[in-house]
Amino acid sequence: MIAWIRTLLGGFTDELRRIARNRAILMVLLGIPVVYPIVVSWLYVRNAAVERPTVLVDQDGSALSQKLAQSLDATQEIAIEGRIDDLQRGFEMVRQRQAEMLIFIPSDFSTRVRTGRQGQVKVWVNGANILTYGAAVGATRTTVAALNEELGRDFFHKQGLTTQLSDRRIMPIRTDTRMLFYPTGAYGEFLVLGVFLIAFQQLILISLPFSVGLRRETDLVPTPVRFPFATLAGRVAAHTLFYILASLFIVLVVTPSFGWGIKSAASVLVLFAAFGLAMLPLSMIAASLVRDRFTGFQVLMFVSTPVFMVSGFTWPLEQMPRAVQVFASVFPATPALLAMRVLAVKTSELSAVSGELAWLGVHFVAYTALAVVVTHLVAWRDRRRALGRPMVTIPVV
Amino acid sequence: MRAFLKGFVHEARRLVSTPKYLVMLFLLLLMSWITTEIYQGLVIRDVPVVVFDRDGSGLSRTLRRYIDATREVEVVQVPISSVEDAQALLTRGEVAAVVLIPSSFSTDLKHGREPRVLVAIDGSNIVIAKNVSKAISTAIGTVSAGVQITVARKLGLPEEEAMAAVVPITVDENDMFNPATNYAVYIVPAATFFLLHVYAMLLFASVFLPDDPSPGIAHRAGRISAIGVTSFLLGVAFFALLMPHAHITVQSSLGVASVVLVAFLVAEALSIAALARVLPGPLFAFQVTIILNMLALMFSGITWPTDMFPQPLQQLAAWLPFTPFADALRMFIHEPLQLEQLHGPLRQLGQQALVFAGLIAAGHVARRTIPALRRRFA
Repeated sequence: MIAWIRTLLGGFTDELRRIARNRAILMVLLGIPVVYPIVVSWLYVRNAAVERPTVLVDQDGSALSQKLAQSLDATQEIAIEGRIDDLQRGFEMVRQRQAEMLIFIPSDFSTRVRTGRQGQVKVWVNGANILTYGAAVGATRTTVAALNEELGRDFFHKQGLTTQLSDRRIMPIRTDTRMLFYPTGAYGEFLVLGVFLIAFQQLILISLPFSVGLRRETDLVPTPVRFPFATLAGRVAAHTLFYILASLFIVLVVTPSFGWGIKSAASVLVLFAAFGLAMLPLSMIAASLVRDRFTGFQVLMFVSTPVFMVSGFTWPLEQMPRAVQVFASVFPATPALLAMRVLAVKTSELSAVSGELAWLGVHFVAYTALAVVVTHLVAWRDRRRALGRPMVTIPVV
Repeated sequence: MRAFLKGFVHEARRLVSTPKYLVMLFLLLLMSWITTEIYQGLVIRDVPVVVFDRDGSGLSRTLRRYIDATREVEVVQVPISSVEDAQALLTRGEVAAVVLIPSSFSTDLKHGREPRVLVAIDGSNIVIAKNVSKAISTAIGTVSAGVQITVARKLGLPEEEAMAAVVPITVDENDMFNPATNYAVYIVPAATFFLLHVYAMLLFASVFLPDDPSPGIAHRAGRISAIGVTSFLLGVAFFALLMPHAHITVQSSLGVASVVLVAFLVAEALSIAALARVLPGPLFAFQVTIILNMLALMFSGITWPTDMFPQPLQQLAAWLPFTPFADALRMFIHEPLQLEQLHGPLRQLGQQALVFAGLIAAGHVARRTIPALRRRFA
C-alpha cells in the first residue's frame, strides 16, 4: 500500500514538474478554461434576440394600420427597418436574409374592421431560426391581441355596456402566467452555463491525454511501472489542481463578471467537483490509449457538441428515442447538465439534485473500475514490448 | 504532379489504415447519426402538465380538455392539494406547468366577473417553457373567445359578425423555409455539417504536424486534396442519406449542394494552411486552429443571430469558412435555389480563399527571405 501511495505521489510531482517545464501543456490547461468561457460569454452578452429586422407593406395607410405598425415597432422583439410598396420586393428581402419577417396590411384592412368584418394581416416569417422566429411571431401575436382587445372593448362600449363590463366581456378569462425560476427566458444566460460545463469537460478530457501523449512521443520504449493506475492517478491529481482553478475562475470570475445568474456559487462549485471527479477516470482511460499528444485533440473534439445536445439540456431527454436516452446516460455530462439547470435557476439546495449527484457517483465508480482494467492492460502490453516478446494487440488510437 | 499524386495516395492510405483516423471517422458517423436521432420527434409533444381543477364544473372540464388536446401538452393526474405541492412538483421537474382553475371559475364567468386562471410554468428550460406557454394560452384563448362569441350573439349579432366583434384582426402566419417550425430542420443540418467541419478541420490541421512531414508543397497539396475528397464524399452522403433519415428534404439539387461544399472545403483547407504558415510553431498553430474552429457553430449565426454578436466577434465570425457555408446551407436546404442565388455566401467563401491563399504566399516568401536577410545583416 505504501509503495502504491509512493507511486501515486511520484506521478503527481513528476507531472507537476512536467507542466511547469512544458508551455504546451500549460497552454491547454489555461487556454481552454480561460478562452472558451470568456468568448462564449462575450458572444451571448446581449442575452436575448431583440429587434428582429422586419419589412412592412402597408397598402391601407389608414390610422388603424399605422397604429398597428407603430405598436409592432414599439415592441422589444421587432424593428421595422423598411416600409416598402412592393410585396415581391419584401419576399426577396426575406429570401436574401435582409429581413426576417414581412408584414402585409391589405388595402381594405381598416374598412373591413370598421364595417364589422374581420381584417386580416398577413405575415411571412423566416422559420429557419426558431429562436428569432419565436421572438418575432410572439411579439406580433401579442401586439395584435392587444389591439383586438382595444377594438373589442370599443365594440361592447358601443353596444351600451359600461367600461367595466366591456373590459370583462372582452377578456372573460384572465390568465396570470408566472414563468417560474427563469422569468426572462433569455437565450444567452440559459445556454452559457451549460457551455461552461462542456468546456470544463473538454479540459479534463484533453489535458491529461495531451501530456501523456507527449511523454509517449519522447519515450520510445515505455518504462514498465509496477502500479500503472497509481502513476496515472498521480498525474491526473496534478492536473486536478488546474481543474480546481478552472472551475473557480469560471464560477467566481466569469459568471458574475458577465452577469450570468446562479442561485449559489457554492452549490455550482460542488457540482463542478462531482462532475470533475466522474470525468477523471475517463480522462485516464483516454490518456492510456493515446500514442501522441495530438490524438487527444483529434479524437475527443468530436464529443463536445453531440454530448451537449444529447444531454437534455436544451431538447428534453424524454422527447428523444429510448436508444438515444440510453446513449446519453453513459456520459457524466448528462446528469451534470441537468443538475446545472436546477442549481442555476431553481434552487441552491443540493438535495434537489441528489439523483443527478448519485448518477455521477455511479459513473465515477464504473469508470474508475474500467480505468484500472485499461491501465493495467496497457502496462502489461508495455512490459511485453520492453521484454521484446510478441505483442498482444490492445486498441491504441 | 507525381509528388501530388504520391501525397494523395499516402494520405488516402493513412485515412483508411491509421487507427486514430478510423476512430475519428467512426465518431463522425456515430455522432452525426445520434444528432439526427435526437430530433426524431421533430417538435415538442405531450409535455406533462397538471390541471388543478378546484371548480369541477362543465366549463372547467372543457378548459382542461382543450389544454389536453394541444400537441405540446399532456394533462397528467398527479394528486396535489396545495400550492406547496405544486411548487414542489415544478421544482423537481416532474411536470412542466401547473394550471390552477379557481373554485369560482364557472360562477364568475356566468355572472360576467373575470375569473382568473393561474398558470405556473417551469421556465428553467426555455424550449419547453415557450412551447407549454403557447399551448396553454392558445387553449385558454380559445375557450375565452367562445365565451365572448356567446356574449356577442346574446347582444343580437349573427355568428360571423360576433366573431369579427370578438377578433377584429386576424393574423395569417406563413412560415417560410421551415413551415412546420420543427427543430430537426432548424438544428440537424447545422449540427451534422459542423461535425463534418470538425473532421475535415482536424485532418487538414494534422497535415501540418511534425509527426508525418511532407517532403514538398506538391506532396502536401496532394494530402490535403485526399482529405478534401474524403470530406466531400462524406458531405454528399450526408445530403443524400442522413438528411432524409432526419426527415429533411434538401430543396436544391445535389449539384448546388456539392458546389457549396467544395467551395467551403477549399476555403477551410486554405484557412488552416494559412494559420499553419503564419503562426509560430506547428503545435501552437494546431491548438489555435482547433480553439477557433470549435467555436464555429456558435459563430455561424445558426442558433444565435450574428447581428446580436459584439462587433469584433462579428468580424471574427465573418472570417471563419463555416459561417458563409452555414448561411448557404440554410438557404439551399429550404428553397430550390440555383447557384447564382447563392452568390452572397459563395462570394464570401471566395474572398476568404483569396485572402488565405495570399497569407500562405506571404508566409512562404517571409520564411525564405527573413533568414536570408538576417544572415546578410548579421
